[in-house]
Amino acid sequence: MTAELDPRPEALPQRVWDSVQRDQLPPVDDRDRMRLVMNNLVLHIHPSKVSKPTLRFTYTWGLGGLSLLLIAILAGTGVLLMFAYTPSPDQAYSDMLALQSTVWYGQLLRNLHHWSGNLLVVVTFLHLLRVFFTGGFRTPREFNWVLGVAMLLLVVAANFTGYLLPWDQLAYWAVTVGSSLMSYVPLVGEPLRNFLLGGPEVSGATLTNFYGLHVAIIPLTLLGIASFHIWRVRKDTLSIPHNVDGSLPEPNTKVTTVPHLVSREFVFALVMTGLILMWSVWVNAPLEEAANPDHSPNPAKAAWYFMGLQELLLHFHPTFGAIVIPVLALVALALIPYQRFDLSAEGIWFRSRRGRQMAVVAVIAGLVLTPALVLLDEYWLDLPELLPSLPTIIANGWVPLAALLLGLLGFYEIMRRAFRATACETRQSLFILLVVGFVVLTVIGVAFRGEGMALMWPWEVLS
Amino acid sequence: MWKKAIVAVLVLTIAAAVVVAVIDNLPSASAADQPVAEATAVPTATGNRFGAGGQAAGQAAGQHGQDNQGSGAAVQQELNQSVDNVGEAWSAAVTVAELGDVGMHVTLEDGTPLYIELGPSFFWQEQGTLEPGDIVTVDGFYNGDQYHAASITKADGTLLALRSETGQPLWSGGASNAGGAQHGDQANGGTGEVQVAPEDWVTLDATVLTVNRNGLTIESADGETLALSFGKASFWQEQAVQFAAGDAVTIQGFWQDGQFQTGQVTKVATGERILLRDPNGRPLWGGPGRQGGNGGQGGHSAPVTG
Ligand code: HEM
Repeated sequence: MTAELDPRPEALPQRVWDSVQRDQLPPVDDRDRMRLVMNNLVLHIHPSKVSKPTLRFTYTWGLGGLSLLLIAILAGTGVLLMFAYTPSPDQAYSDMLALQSTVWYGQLLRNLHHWSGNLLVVVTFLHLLRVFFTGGFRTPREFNWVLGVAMLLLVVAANFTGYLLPWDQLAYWAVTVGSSLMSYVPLVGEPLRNFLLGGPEVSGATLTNFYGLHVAIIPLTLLGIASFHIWRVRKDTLSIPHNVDGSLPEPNTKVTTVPHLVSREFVFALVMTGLILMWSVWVNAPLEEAANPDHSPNPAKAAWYFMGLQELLLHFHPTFGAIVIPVLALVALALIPYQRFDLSAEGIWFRSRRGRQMAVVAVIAGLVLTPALVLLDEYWLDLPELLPSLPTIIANGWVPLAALLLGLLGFYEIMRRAFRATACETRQSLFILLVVGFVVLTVIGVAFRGEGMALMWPWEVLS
Repeated sequence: MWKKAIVAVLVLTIAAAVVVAVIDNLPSASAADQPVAEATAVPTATGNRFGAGGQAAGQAAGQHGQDNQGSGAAVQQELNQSVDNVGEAWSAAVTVAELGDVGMHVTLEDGTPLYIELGPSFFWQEQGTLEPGDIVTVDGFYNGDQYHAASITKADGTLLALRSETGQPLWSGGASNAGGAQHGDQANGGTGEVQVAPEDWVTLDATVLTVNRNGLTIESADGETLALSFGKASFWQEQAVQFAAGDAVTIQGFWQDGQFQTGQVTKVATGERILLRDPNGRPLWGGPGRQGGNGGQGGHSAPVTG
């Protein structure tokens, strides 16, 4: 009797290749394709079949996926940067110079990390907007929205801590300004700031703290929450896009993830990687002179994503500008999915036809009203002077906030009546008004504030 | 239900604010144009904007009766010459931006920059430290063209005392020549808010006093002592020009925000020189990244106005 021999029809390389994947490659039918997803560690973040309408690019714009791609790029380039960087005030800046001049592809590496980091803030925010405007936060996805808000904060925190590491003038003073916002918090603000900075001011201890946060704590937390976020997307499935009349754009059939979803993701990731690479080849990340604690630039500005906040501080008492308003806004943002929602609006961009018209009105209102209010406060209205007998925290804090809130409620009522709109549509227009307002404030802070944070007219900016 | 309550609170707030505004402004508007005029002269930091400062303002004004003197510009001008006219009591919470020899540049809560005179630094340094970025409360005086600090309270409660309640400088032991001294210091331009276009290069002939890691201390031909900081230490030291105390040097640079920014230093005896900045005034130690990158939204901290 002969022993039963292993049939060996293939050559050795083929057999090695086959052994990598648990299933036969290439898959020959849908069952194979589904098994491929289920049995693969990476692809397993996807369900084995997805609903066909959700594949349209103009539904998600690939923004969640792009956030993941950017996080991956950041992790990769970040680890490489760690080889060329020492977090000490004596060493950090000259390390940056050496990185840019003597390390092979050092400048490119730094550019990739810098631009991906900034882009991530933008993309995460856009992803939030996409989810909001398609009603993607509807039951059962409310908690995933809350996780998203947490991740947005982490992304900003990662950026802020990274900002300090080059130890140049920009880094030093942006962090000095940014962290001084914190000291406005009553009671705990000062101790908290001292804890974070490792002392009363930005110093070597701050660099140590920020470095630890930037390379370990924040990325790990972000990774943890992101995994959970993706897992929830997989379990809750993506919301299904609908036409504005409520019909489905195409029959809601299911297709296998391989190749329908995976190939799209792959192409998109490739194109985006290419674009980011090209941008980073052409545009260098800024590096100023070495940090000089004795000499602040004028104006000393925070990082761009904090400029909306810094602008707010120019108009409100610090307790309101730095604490009350941002906290209110964040709490409201996190609670959005727990508001009542029109079931029929899920998956429809901007809720409905009426929702779209109202959105246009809200954008215009935001674009007009925000600069108008800034100018009003800058040139005409001086509340503390008008109300000398009240403490500034009231005169320049609670009073203008109350006026603002009343204005927003008024806007809500006017929109609701003018359009005979549902609460859901009206809330959307209010959200748009506030988002546009925030973006306009950021633009004013970044581009229209000159020396001493004085307001500049567009022609002064250009000259 | 609670929606109505919120609206009611908001409406009440606004209504109350309007009432207070009317009450606050009615009598004062008729009784005195004067305070109003002064308020516009000091647009962003009237004493009453800050609770404690308001009281200080009241007290000091009471003792001095200087309220009346603010009336005419001519009178004011004249008073400026007189020794102890430091002006109206004034107070503000400020963020320290930069420390000079006899004063500091600060920004007010709303971002307005100010220069506040502190007197000689040795005097207040004995009492504590001030650092750029500190948020402090300044009680002091404003006479229409200069702010003088009388006391500075730091966030941790430390108090630096500089002048008496009546404005007499504590460092000189009396009022005798304080005014003259400060104005003299100011005139030197060492601390004034000089905004230099990079083409405003100046050349100094000087003698080296000391050499240190950061740069040189020099005495210029007209007797002024300057501590020059040359930016990144390794950058200029690599240029391998040996300076020693007593060397005659020629320095080209420009004044910016009260700091002398050095562009190049030439040793007269040998003609050797070190280069620190390009003709646009940009530091050469910034590396290749500086010229290449246009910075995008990261932005350069100093507005590029040229
Ligand atoms: C680093 C940050 C983030 C990453 C990596 C991420 C990743 C993703 C991915 C890959 C998806 C799948 C669909 C898509 O691409 O749109 C998704 C969906 C979703 N994300 Fe995020 N996200 C992030 C931040 C946020 C934020 C800031 C929010 C909102 C506050 C949010 C809320 C949601 C919700 C509710 C869904 C489900 C949408 C639907 O079913 O239509 N995410 N996220």
